[in-house]
Amino acid sequence: MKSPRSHARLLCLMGLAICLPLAPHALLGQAAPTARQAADSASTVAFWEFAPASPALDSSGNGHTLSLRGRDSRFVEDERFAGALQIRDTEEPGDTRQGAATARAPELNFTGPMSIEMWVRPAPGLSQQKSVYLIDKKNYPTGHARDPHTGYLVTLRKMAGADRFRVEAHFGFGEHSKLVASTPIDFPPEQWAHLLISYNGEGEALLYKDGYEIGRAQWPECRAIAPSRQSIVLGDRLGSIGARFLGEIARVRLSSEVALPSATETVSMDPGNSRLAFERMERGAHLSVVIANKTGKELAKAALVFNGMGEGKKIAIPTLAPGASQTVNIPLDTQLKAGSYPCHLECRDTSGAVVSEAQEIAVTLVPRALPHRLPVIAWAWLGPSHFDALEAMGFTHFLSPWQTSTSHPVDFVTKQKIPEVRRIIDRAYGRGLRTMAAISPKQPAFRKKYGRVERNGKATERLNGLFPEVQSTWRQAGSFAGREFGDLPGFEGAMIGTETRDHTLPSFHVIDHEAWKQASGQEIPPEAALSRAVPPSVLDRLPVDKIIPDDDPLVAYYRWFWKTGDGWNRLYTEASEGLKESGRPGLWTWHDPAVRTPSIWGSGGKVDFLSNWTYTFPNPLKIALAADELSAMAKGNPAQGIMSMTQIIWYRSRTTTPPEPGKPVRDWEREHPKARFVTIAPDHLGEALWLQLAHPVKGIMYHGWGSLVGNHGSYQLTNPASADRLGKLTREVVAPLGPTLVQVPDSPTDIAFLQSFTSQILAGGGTYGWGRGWQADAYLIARHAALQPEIVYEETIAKTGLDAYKAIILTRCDVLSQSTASALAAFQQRGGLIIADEFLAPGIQPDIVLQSIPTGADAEADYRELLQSAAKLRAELDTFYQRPLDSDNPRVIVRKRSTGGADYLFAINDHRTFGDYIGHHRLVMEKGLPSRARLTLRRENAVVYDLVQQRPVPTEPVEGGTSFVVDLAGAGGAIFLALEKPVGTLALKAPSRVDRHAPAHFAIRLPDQEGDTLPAVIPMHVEIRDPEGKLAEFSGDYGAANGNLDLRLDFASNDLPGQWSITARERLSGQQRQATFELPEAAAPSLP
Amino acid sequence: MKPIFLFFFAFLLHAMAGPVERREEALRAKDPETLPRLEELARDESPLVRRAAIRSLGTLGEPARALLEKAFAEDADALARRTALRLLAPRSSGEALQKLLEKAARDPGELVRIAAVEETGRAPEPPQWCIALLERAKEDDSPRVRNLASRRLWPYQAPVASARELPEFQDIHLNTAKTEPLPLAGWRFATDPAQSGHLHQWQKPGFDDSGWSPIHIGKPWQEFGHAYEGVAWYRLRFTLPEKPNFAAVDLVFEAVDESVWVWLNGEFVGAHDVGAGGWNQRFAIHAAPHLQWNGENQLAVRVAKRKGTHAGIWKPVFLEILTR
Repeated sequence: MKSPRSHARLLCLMGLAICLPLAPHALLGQAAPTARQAADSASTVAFWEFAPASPALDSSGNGHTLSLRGRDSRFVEDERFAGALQIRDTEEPGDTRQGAATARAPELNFTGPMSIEMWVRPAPGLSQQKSVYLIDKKNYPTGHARDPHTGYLVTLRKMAGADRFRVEAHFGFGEHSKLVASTPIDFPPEQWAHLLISYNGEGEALLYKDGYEIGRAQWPECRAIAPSRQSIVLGDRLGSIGARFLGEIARVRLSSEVALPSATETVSMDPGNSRLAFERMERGAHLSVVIANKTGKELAKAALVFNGMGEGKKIAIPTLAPGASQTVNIPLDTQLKAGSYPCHLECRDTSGAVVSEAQEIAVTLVPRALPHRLPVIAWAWLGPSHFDALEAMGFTHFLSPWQTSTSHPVDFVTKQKIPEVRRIIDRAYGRGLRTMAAISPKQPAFRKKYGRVERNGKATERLNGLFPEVQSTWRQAGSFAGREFGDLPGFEGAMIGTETRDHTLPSFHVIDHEAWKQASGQEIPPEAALSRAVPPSVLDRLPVDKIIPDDDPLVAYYRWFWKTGDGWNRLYTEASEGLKESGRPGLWTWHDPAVRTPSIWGSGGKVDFLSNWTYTFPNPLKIALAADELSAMAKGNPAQGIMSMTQIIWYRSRTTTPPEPGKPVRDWEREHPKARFVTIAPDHLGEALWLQLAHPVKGIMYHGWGSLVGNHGSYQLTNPASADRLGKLTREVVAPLGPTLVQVPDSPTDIAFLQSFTSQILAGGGTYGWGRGWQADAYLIARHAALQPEIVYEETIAKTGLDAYKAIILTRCDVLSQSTASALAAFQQRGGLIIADEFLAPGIQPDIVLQSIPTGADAEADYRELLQSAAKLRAELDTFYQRPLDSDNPRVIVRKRSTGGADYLFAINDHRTFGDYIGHHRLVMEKGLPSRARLTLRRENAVVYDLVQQRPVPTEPVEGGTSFVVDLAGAGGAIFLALEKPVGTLALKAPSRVDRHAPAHFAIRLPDQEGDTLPAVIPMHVEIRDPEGKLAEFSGDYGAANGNLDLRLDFASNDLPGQWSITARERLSGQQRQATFELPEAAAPSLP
Repeated sequence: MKPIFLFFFAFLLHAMAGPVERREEALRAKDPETLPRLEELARDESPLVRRAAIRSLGTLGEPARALLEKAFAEDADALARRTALRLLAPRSSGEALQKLLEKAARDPGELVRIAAVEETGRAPEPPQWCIALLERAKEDDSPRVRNLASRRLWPYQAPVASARELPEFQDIHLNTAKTEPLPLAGWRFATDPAQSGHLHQWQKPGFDDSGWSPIHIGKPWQEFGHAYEGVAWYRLRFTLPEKPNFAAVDLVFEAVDESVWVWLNGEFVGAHDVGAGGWNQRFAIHAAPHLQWNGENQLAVRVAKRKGTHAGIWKPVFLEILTR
C-alpha cells in the first residue's frame, strides 16, 4: 500500500504526465505593433525603448532624450523588452527626485487626440505606496497657481485596505482639471502589465490594461488639453512628494492619435477574482480563472493546465476569438486536509507551447469552524494589510471596506467594487477571519427625497423611515449583500444602520401626521419638537405626586415615536431580513449603538444582536451598565442577543486637562500634542473585557483601530501596551473560555433597576447609553454594593410584573405612569424594597433613599463618593436582603450567571489609581491595583473551580453558603464555576484504528465524582495531532454541555498515515487524557 | 389554650421577630384594629420598619392622622418624617397645610425640606404664605431646596446648553462653518421692576413692544440712559436667510451682565443664571429647533442685575452655524 506521500508524488507525476508532451515556454508571436513600427508611425511623438545601447534615446527621432533624475533611477536590460527604466528606493529613499525626464518641449503637448502607452512591472514594494506617478507633465493633479490646469499625468493609487490600485489620469483644460479613474486593478509584483491611456481631444478619455477597458470618462464641455510648460517625467512626479513608481517601465510611446487597444502578445490568465479559500469538505468548490486571448489571432484547442493539491488537470479552453475571454472553472478537492496548497497555472496551445505567463497561486482549505465561538470583532473597515494585526490581537471578525454607491442607495457597494470585496472576504477567510458588511443606505440624494420635515414645514435631509420606498430600499440593500456575498463562507453578516438614530427628531410630513393619527386617532401634541425631552413647563403642569395616566397623550406620542414613528427600527428589520433572503444559513446582524435611545423596547428592530459603543473613562464599570442596558432593551425581542463594544479611543478633551506650566508632560503628549483621540489605557481595556465576559454577551467589539495599531485619521496610537493586553486576554481568556461562556445564560436576579421612559420624556434624565450622569452613577453604586441589578423598563413591569424581585432601585424616576406606580405600590406592599433617590415621583414613598451625588470634578474624589454611597446603601440593606453572591471588597465587582445546577461566578478588580499614562490630569484613574476579596455564594457546600487557573478553589462553609478568597491582579478578573459535586474522572473514548474513508468518532466525558452528568458547560481543550505532531482539524477549545463532547473526524486522502493522538484537557481541575489511534495508508488511486 | 396564653404567645412572637418580620407585619397591618401595633412599629428601632409602619398608617385615614403627625414631628429619621409629610399633605388644607409645610420647611433634613417645597404645588393659586415659604426656601442651605423653590416661583430654570453639550452630538466633532451676527442696533428695551413681565407675555412673539425704548446691545444699558438695577427685558426682531446646511446652530452670547433668560420665537430656550460671576461669561444655546429660516424671528432676553452700574447685553450676540 502506498503512503499519502507516495500518493501525492503519484499525483504530481500524473500532473507532469499532462505537462510532458508540451514544449518549453514559448510566448506567442507579436500581434502588437513592433517597436520599429511604433517608432516609425507618423503619429508617434515620442517613443522610449530604453535599449541598452542608447537607453535615454527617443526612438521616434524627435529628440526627446531622457535624463535620469536620481541615484535610485537607472536604465536596465530586460529579457522581455530591450530595456527598461528601473526605479528603486535603496540609495535615496524618501522625498527625492527620481525617474527620467525630458527637457521642456512644446511638441509634447497635444492640441487634439493623444495616447500614452507603456509597460509597467511593479516591484514588491509598490504595495506599500499610496500613490505613484507613471508619467507627469502636469505636476498638480487638480491644478495649482504655478501650474494651473495644464498638461496630463498618470498615477497608480492604492485602494484603502487592499492590495489593488486604480489607474488615474488627470488632464488640464485651462479652467479646470478632469480625472478618469479605473476600477480597482491587480498589479501583481514582478509581472508586466500594458497600460494605454487615450484622450480624443473632444471630451472622452479611455483607460486600458492589457487590452481591456478599465475606465472611461466623458466631459462634453472639454476640448484640447491645455499646453503645459513642464517637461515630462517618467516614473515620478515633476515636483517632490516622494511619489516614485517602484519597478520597471518599458516601451513608453506618446502619440497624437487615439490608439486602440491592441493585442498584448499573450494569453492572460486572471485568477484574481477567484475564491482561493474554501471550507474543508465544501461542496462544489472550484477556482475560476478568466482566460483572455490577447494574441491577436484565434486561440483554438488550447488548454488550461493546473498542477496542485496533489493533482494535475488539463481543462480544455473553448475557442477564443481575438480579444475574447472565457471563465474556466477548475474543480477542487476539498476533502484534502486543511492547509495551504501552492498551485501552478498556465495555458498551452495545441503544440504544447505555453501561451501565457505562469500563475502561482495558493489555495487554502480552511478547517471547519468549531462551535460556539465568541466573536471578537474589529469595528473597523479593514483589508489584507491588516490581517496580521488582526490575528495578533485575537480578532475573529472585521468590517470589510465597502464603497458606497453615491448614486443608488441599494448598491451600497458599487458594482465595480464587488469583486474586490469578495476578494477581501475570501483572503480573510483563508486567514481564519470572518467579514461583516455595513449596511446603512442613506445617501444624500436619498435623504433629500425622503427626508423628515420640521414642525415649521422645513424639509430636512434626515431620512424618514416611514416612507415605503425607504423601507423597500433598506430591504433591497440587505438582500443585495446576501446575494453578492452570501455564498462566501467567510462572509457572516452585517452591521445594520450604525449611529443612525442619534439625531432623530419628530417629523411633521403628512406621512407622519397620518401614521400617528392612524395609530392613536390623535394629532401630534404641540409640545413635541425634540426627540428626547419636552419643554420643562410640561413638568410644572403635572400633579404634585407626578403620577400620570397611562394614556397621557404626550408620552403616548413619544412611545410611538421611539418604537415606530421615527421609522428607524423598521428599517433595521428590513435590512436584516433582506440579508437573510439569500437563504444562507448562519448569517447574523447587529445594530449599534442600540441604547442611545430612551428606555423603550424596539431599538434595533429585529436584528440578531444589539450592541453599544462605550467609553470606559472615567470608570470601566460603565461597560457593565451598557451591557445591562442592552439586555433590558433586548428583552423586548426574545430572539435577540447582545454584544458589547469597548471604545479604543478616548476623547483627549475628557481625559486630559490643557497644558499648564509646571505640569508634567508625558512622552506621548510631546509626540502627539494635538491628538484629539488617544488610546484607551491597557488596564481599562483589560477590566472592561472581564466585565463584558461577566455578562451574557455573544460577541465583543472594539472601535478605534487607529488608536490600537497606528495612526488612522484623528485616532492616535498613544499607548501600544493596550494592543498587547488585548492580544493576551483574547488568547488566554476569550479563546479558551468563550465557547463555554456563550452557552451560559444570565442568572435571574432579584434586584431591579428601573429606567423610566415616562420620566425621561417628561423630566429629562436617562443615560442614553453614554453611562454618564447620576442615573449611571447609581448603577455603579449598586455594583460596588455587590448587587446584581437587572435593568427593567416600564414595559418589563407591565409584562412580567415585579414578583421576581426583592428590591427595586428607582433613580431619576421623576414621573411615573399610573400602572407603574400601582405595580410599585403592590410590590412594596408584598415586602419588596424600594430604593430611590430624591427625584422619585412624590406619589411613591421609598424604603431607602439613595441620595444623588455630584461627580465630575476629580476622579479620585468621585470614586470615593461612589464607594461611600455604596457602603451606606449596603448598611441599610443588609438586614433585609441577602445577596446570591457577595464580595466583601467594594472594589471587587461580582456577577453570577447560571445554567442547570452550575453557577458561573465572575470577580473583576476595579481597584484603580492614577497612573503614569494619563493620571497626572486627575480626570481618569487608569492604573489597576491588586485586590483581595472574600466571595460568598449563597449556596451551601458548593464545589468551586477556577476556570482561568484550571484548579479547584479552597472554600469555607458559612451560614447558608460557601465562601472563598480571591486575589486579583490590577485590572484583572477571575471566573469560577460552582457545582454541587466535585468533578469525576475525565474519560476519552477513541477507536484504536480509523478508516480514512469513513468518519471516526471520539467521545470525551467529564461526569461528577459519582459518575452522574455534570449540569454545566465545561471548557474543554482538544488537540488532534498527526504522526508529525501537527495539529489537525477540530483541534481547539470547546464548551462541553453537560461535560460531554462528541467529535467526528473526516480523514483526508493526504493525511499522514501512522499513529495519531488526541488529547483532551478539561479546564476545571486540569485533568488531561490522551489516546492514540492508527490511520492506515491511503489506497493508491487507479490510473485512468 | 387560654386566651392569656395565646396573648403571651403572640407577645413572644412579637418580641422575637426580627426586623424583616416586623417590617412585613407593618406592611400587613391595614385595618383600624392594628393601630396600636402600628404605633409600636412606628417607634421600632429599625428605620425601615418605621417607614413601613408610617406608610401603613397612611392607609388608615383619619384615625391614624395623629400618629402620622407624631411621626412627622418626632421621628429621628428624615425619610420617615418625609414619608409622614407626604401622607399628611394630600389630606390637609388651609391652615393645617400651612402649618405642616412651614414646619417641614424648617426641618433639619434636606429630604423633608425638598418635599415641603414640592408639596406647595398642591395649591393651584399659591397663597401668600406659600409664596413666603418659597421665598425663604430660596435662601436654604441646600442648593437642591433653593433650586426647587426658585423653580416654583419662576418656572424658567432650564440652564442653557450648547449643541456640543447635547448627548446627540457627544460623539461628533462640530466645526464652526459660519457665524451670523445679530444686529447691535434695533433692539427694544423695558425695565421690569415688578418682575412680572413674563406674566404679561413679554416673551411672546406677538407682544407689542412698540412702546419700549430703542436700545443697542454691545454696551451696558446704563450707557443708554437707564440708570437701573433689577430685571429688564430686551426684544429683537431679525430675519434669517435661506436655511444653510448644518448639523446644529448655537445662539451665542459673548456676555450678559448678569443673569439671563432667553426665549426664541416664544419658546424658552435656556437660562444663564450662575450668579454675579456670570457677568463676563460667554454662553451658547442650541437654537436650531426654534429658528425660522428665510423668515422673521423674535428674540426676547430677560436680564437680572442684582447690584451694580454695569448691566445688560454688553457684548455681541450671534448665531454659530455648526457642521460636522
